[in-house]
Amino acid sequence: MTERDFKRLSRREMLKLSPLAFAGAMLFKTVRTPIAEAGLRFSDWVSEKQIGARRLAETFSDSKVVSFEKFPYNYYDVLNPEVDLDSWKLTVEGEVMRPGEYRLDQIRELPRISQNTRHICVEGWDVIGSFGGARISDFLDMIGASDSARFIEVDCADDYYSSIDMKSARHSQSLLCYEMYGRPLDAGHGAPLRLQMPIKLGYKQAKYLVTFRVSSMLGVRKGYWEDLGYSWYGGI
Amino acid sequence: MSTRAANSIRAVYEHPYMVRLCHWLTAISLTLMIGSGIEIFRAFPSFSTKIPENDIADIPSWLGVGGWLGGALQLHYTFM
Repeated sequence: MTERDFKRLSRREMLKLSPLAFAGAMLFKTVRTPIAEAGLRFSDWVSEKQIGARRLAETFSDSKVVSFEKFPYNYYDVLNPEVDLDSWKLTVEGEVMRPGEYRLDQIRELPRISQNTRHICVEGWDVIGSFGGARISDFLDMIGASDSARFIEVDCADDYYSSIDMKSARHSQSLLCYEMYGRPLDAGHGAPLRLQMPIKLGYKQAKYLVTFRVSSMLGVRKGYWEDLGYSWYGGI
Repeated sequence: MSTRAANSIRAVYEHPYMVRLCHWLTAISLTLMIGSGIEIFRAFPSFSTKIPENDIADIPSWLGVGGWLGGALQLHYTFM
């Protein structure tokens, strides 16, 4: 190879090799992770803007609902964090006019919504279940949530935590769920109170709620699985 | 074949650079889409009789890209 050939190679060939260089760079975690995370954030942004919380999730007749026994228990740490149901209270804080501790019967006084919806897990399984509870939207009005607040963050008795955007929370099918199949939630399904939003994936349906925080800004802790790499928006 | 004739053979690229660049970017994207897709497929769990897994193919883990479901999903969305 003459020197001239080499010079030509170093320009054109290098340019032609750029996809290969990119592929090679993707092998390194320090390069791959920011690219993949940026891609996920873009995907979240598009889903929020394009799919949003505008449409309704599909609802089903009672005959399509799986039996209570067939509804799987899924959990991240413990199946039963041993919540004392008698003394349980939901701590409400943040940008609300009436912060404080709310009892379950106060939440039960809100209009009760019952719906048969599909619970969809990011791992690829889904079940149609029967859920009952109060609209998060009604609860937000009860506690006097600020109109300018953009997020809701929840903490759970099993140290799980998550957060959702206000538009999804205000969706007419988004519930503070205290019932499944007409019976109070059992320990494995998140007694006494959990989130149930058929427009979101399963990992957003936090169980064993203890803290409900209304805020304008998300902290560094966005959610247990979300911080590990799952989509924050988690829409369906 | 004479030396002269051999020297006159020239390789010609038929496609413009942009087409070739897009081709190879697609090749990378497709590889990562398939690899991460396999990893996502592999994440399906079994809840014994509640949600059985036994009718789903067992794909070896080395075919998957992304390390775990979360990593695979990030790559999948990015290269979509």
